[in-house]
Amino acid sequence: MKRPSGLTVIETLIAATLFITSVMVLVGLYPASARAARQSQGHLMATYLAEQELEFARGRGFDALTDFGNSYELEVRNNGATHEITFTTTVTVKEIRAGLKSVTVTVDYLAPDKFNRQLKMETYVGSTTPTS
Amino acid sequence: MVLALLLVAVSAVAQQGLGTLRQARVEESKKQAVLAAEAAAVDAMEQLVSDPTFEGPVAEVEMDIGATYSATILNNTTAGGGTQFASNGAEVPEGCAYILAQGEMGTIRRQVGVLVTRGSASALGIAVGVGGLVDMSGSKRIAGTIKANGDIDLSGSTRIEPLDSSGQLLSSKAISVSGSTRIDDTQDVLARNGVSGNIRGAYEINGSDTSVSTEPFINDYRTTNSLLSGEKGSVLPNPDPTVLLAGAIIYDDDGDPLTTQGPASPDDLNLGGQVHYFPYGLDFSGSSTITGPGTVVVGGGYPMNFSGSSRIAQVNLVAIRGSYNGFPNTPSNDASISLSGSSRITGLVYAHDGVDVSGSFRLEGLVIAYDSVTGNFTTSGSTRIELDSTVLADIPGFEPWADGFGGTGGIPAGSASFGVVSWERL
Repeated sequence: MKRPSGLTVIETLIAATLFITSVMVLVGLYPASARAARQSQGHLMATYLAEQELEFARGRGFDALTDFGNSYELEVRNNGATHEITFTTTVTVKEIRAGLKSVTVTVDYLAPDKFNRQLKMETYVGSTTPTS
Repeated sequence: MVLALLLVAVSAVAQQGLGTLRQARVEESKKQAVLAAEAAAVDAMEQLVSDPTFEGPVAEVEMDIGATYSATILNNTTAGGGTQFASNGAEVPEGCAYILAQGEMGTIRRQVGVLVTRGSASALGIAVGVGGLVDMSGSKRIAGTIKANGDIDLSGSTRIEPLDSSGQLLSSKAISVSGSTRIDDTQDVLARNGVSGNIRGAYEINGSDTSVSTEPFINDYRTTNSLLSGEKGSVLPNPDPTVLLAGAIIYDDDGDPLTTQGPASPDDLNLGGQVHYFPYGLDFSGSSTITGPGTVVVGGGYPMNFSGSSRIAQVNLVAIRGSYNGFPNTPSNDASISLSGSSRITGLVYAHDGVDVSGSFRLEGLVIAYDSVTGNFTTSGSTRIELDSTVLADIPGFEPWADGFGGTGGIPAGSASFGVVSWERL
C-alpha cells in the first residue's frame, strides 16, 4: 500500500515545538544581550571616568596631590531605552617613596543589571611628571 | 534549514551582547597597561633625578592593582657620547636620556617611550617669589606660581595659568583680590590669614592653610640652598657675592675704572656674557641699550633704575646689599629695581629690597624680591610674566637654585632636573 506523501501530525508537532522553542530562546536572549550591552556601556563610562580623574590628578601637580572624590550622573542609552547611572569616584594618593606617589581611582556604580560594580585604575605621579 | 537559521540568529544575538562586554573589559585592561607603562616612565625619571648617571633596567614593580611594569634607561647625558639608539630604534641625541617603559595588565602589554634632557625643568615653579608683600594692579597674566611671605593684594584683571603644574597663589599671610580674578581649576589659592574677594576657578581656596605650601620662604640671607635641621619650606635664592662678582667687570659712573662714587649712567652696554658690576647703582634711560646675554649687578644696597622703553633680552638684573671688593665704602640700604615705562625683559629680576614696576611690563624669567621687610613686588599697569627658571643656571652664585628652591616641596639641591622632550605611547 502506498504511503501518503506529506508530514505526519507527529512530525509537524516536533517541528513546531523546535521552532517555538528556538524563537523563545531567541526572544529570551535578546534582553540578556541588551543588558550586557548596557553593562558594557556602563563599564566603558567607568573606565573613561577613571582616566579623566587620573588626568585631573596629574594636572594638580605632585606637591598638591591629595585624596579627592566626585560623583557623576550619566545616561546610558541602548535601543531607545535610557538608564541613569550614578558613578562615584574616589582618588587615593599614597607615597611610594620620596618624589613618587601612587594614584588609584576607584569608580563605584550601580550597573543596569542592578549589581554594584567597581572598577579600579592606578598610575604613579612623580615630582617631574609632566602635566600635559 | 529553519532550525539552522534560528541557531545562527540566537548565537549572533548572544555574542553581540557578550562581545561588547568583553570588549569593554579589554579596553579597561589596555588603559591600565598604558597607565602602568607611564608609571614606569615616571619611576625611571625620578631615578634619573636622584642619580643623573643612572642607566640600565629599573626593577620590575607590581602595582597595587595587579599590573606590573618595567623600564630601561639609555643615558646619553654625558658629553662626547654622540647620538645613540635605544633597543626599539629610537634616536637618543647627546645630552638626552631615553626611557623605554613597559606596562602589563593580564595578557595586554603597552609601551611608552620618553626622551628627556637635563636642565630644562622649571623646578619649583615660582614665577614670583617674594619675601615681603605683593601688590599688583592693572591687567596681569602670570604663567607660574606667585608666592609671598607677606600679603598678596591683586586689583584689576588677574589671570594665573599653570606652567609645569605650577600656577598657584600662595601667601604666608593674607590674599586679597578685587576685579576679575581667574585661577586654573587644578590650582590652589592658599593663605594662612584669610582669602578675600571673588576668585573664579581654583581647585581649593583656603584662607586657613597650614600646609608646607604656605610655609614662609627661608630668607635669612644664607647663601646655600639647603635646610637646617628641623626647618620646613624652601630657601629663597641668595647668591654668594664672592661667586657672583668673581669675574665681574666693575664700573664707576662713567664706565671707567672705579674712581668716583655715584650712580652710573652708561649710554650703551654690551654685556658679552659677563657679569657687570655697578657698586654705586645704575640709572638707565630708555634711549640707552643693553645687549645680552649677561648679568647687570648693582651692589652696596644702591638701586637700579630703568626709565622709558626697555627691551632687554637675555639680561639678568640683580640688586644686592653689602659691600664687596671694598666697594662701596658707604653702603646704602636700597638694593631695589625700578622699571618705569614699557619694559620687556628675558631673564631674572632679583632685588634684596624690592622690585617696583610702573607701566607695561613683560618678563620671561622670574622675579625675586628677597627681604622680609623691604622685599616687595609692586606693579601698576599691564603685566605679563611667564616663568622660566632655567635663567638661574647661567648666573654665578645662583646655580644651586637652578634645580629648585631646596627643601620640602622643591627638588632637593644638588639633584638634577630633567625636562621632557617627547612622551610617546608606542
